[in-house]
Amino acid sequence: MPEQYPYLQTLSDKDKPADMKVLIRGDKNNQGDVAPRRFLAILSGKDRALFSKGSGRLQLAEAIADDSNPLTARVIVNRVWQQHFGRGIVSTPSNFGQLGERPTHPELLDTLASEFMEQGWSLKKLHKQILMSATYALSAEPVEANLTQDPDNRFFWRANRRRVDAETLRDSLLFAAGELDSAPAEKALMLDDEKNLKRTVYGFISRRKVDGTLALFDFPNPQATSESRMSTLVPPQRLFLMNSPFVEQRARALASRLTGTDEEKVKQAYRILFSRDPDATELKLALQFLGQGEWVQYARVLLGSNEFLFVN
Amino acid sequence: MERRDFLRNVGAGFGMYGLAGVLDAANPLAVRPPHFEAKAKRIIYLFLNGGPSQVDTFDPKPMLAKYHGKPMPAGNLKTERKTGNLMRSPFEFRRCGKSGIEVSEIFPKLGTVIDEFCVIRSMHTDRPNHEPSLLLLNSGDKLPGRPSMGSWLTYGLGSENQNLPGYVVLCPGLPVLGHQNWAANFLPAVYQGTYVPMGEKDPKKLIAHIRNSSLSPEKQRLELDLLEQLNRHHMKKEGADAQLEATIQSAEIAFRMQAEAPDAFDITKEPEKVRGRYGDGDFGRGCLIARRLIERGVRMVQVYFGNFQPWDNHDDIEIHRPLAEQCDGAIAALIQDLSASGLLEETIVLVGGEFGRTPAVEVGGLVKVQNGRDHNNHGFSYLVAGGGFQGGTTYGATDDFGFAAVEKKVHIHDLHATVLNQMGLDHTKLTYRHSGRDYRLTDVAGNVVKDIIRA
Repeated sequence: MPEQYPYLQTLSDKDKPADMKVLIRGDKNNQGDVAPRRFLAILSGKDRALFSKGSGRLQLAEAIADDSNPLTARVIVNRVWQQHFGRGIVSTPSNFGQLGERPTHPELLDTLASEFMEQGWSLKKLHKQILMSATYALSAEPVEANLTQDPDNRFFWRANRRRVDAETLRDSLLFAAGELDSAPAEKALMLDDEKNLKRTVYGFISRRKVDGTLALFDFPNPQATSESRMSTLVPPQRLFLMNSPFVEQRARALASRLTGTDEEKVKQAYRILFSRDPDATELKLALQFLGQGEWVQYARVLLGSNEFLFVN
Repeated sequence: MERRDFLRNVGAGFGMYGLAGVLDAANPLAVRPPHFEAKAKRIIYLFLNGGPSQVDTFDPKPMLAKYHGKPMPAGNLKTERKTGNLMRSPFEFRRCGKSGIEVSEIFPKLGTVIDEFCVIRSMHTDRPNHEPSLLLLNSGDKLPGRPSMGSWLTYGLGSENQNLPGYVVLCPGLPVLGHQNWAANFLPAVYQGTYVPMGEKDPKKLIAHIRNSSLSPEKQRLELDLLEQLNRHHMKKEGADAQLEATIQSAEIAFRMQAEAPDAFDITKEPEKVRGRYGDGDFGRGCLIARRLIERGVRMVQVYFGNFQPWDNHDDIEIHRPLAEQCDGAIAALIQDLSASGLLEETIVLVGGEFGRTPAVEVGGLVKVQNGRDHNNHGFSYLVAGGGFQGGTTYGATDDFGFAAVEKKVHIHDLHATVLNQMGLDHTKLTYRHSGRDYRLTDVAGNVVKDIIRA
């Protein structure tokens, strides 16, 4: 058999599926009562019917995705919202129960959830719906009156400014340098391998030892599930941006992409990194700096600047 | 926008600053005067994550041997999992020091410095699960979202060393909940803990990228100056923002760290004999680094025992023995060194986990061995040394079997209030206005435990 081969995991029912006993805390040596195969009482009531077709796996999937069960759609819609806005409509994405936070916009959550189901559970359509909303189009600009009323932006009156996550940062650095190889990787690649220019999503993740740069930018502990990312802003991250060979190499590559006079090169750099031209102040600071410092240094400053590290 | 305006505007926080001292607008980590004269200036918090068992470490219960294998007369309290009959400690306790405080045989070296510790035997907290209890111990609330104690302290007092982060967290790997444990949350982000992974033995690799291999400090300064100018210009256009401000601050600290951190974190500069006393393990090296950071004026260093939750011995309490072996010498060495240099006087050393364990055997979990104990928030022990705490004493008590705190109970809010008190801070006055109200580390609770501190 070749080392790597395409495969698809499938499941099939046993000939004679049977009920299992509860394994208390997952331990097969510690068995509790028999648990007949059926859906959760909390979502379908005590008198719910037993699963009757085969193992019941298909019926379980159908019950989870049933139109009469609002929880599944609410949960995934909330996660997508969280990804786009930095906070969910329910700010405790794994806890919609008593100990969780209440939704800030319950009607919005239900509208998005029901339309998501009507649209055939299409994540693509959900993304589009959120991204085309007036709320998503808001800038991060502060408004004094709103800051006083709602300093946490619980009601989404402006965009949340967010530091890019570890994967986005690495990909963006490679992209700005013109080096990103966006073709899918055939297998997981080590992220500390300097020859690895693929997107970070193809990086090898060890449960025992997370890659140092990922960890530095708040990649969660892979031994546990993670409902959302932390976003710290600490000095060791700056040390990576100032001193790491990885960033140095990206700065070199970015500097070498630029052509023409110093002014033209500065403009190109701004267009690549920020999709805009530098303003007069930025141009002046650049030309002043280039009188003393080198292009690689200038490129590194731009790659470590707040405009590059944050999305609004 | 001027920095002064920024500080006034961001989150309306500094406007409500609860201290008499004038804030140095240019530097959020500048030293600020406490509310009243402080007994302590710094904290080392040794966090034995997972939940060490009190009845096997610092809270001996002879009745457990008598009732071994029998049910708890009054019935077991509710904890996370199902527990059965009472179980004696497999370890013996010995009287230690002049005080004669009883310490488990698994901590022989710590026993020799027990006279420096106040052993609080009546701690209790609100939840028998790791996540909420970690948050309670670190931030005073069971849900994420509150600033950690180290963040409150650096917010309240600044830091005495501007070349190092004011609040440093050392851990091999990550504890449960990871960075949330040392988050600043709604306090300005500059007050969050700086995490240094302890898995690396070579001090030169411990703080990644601490040196630039090709630039002189002067040339690098040019980069940093341009960076700050561009970032300030950017913020002027974007409007004041705590995160944008935090990266500007952390860039400055990073630049200065390059000069001081290699030395501070390099334990090979300690004599081999000293290193031997701390041990070569992650926790031992962490304790030694903590000492070196405290000597340099870092406000708070938290040393986690290990990745995930090593002390969580549900199935076999015997595992406490090798765990204790990994920290016994280091804790003793740290106390001895701080005591010898006089720093212990003004340094609080906290030792404890997120909760204790049940005196009854756990039967609801991994039961192959059935020699372990479940989580227990009803009663557990904490050790506190230095910083004006009463060494060589015990305080409070659990019931006859060590299940629940019954005498002179100390809630984690009380511990926080007392620690802040020793740092010269009134826990009811160290506040931050957020979401329309003033928040504190102790929420709306907490009493200073006067009996465990020197007058």
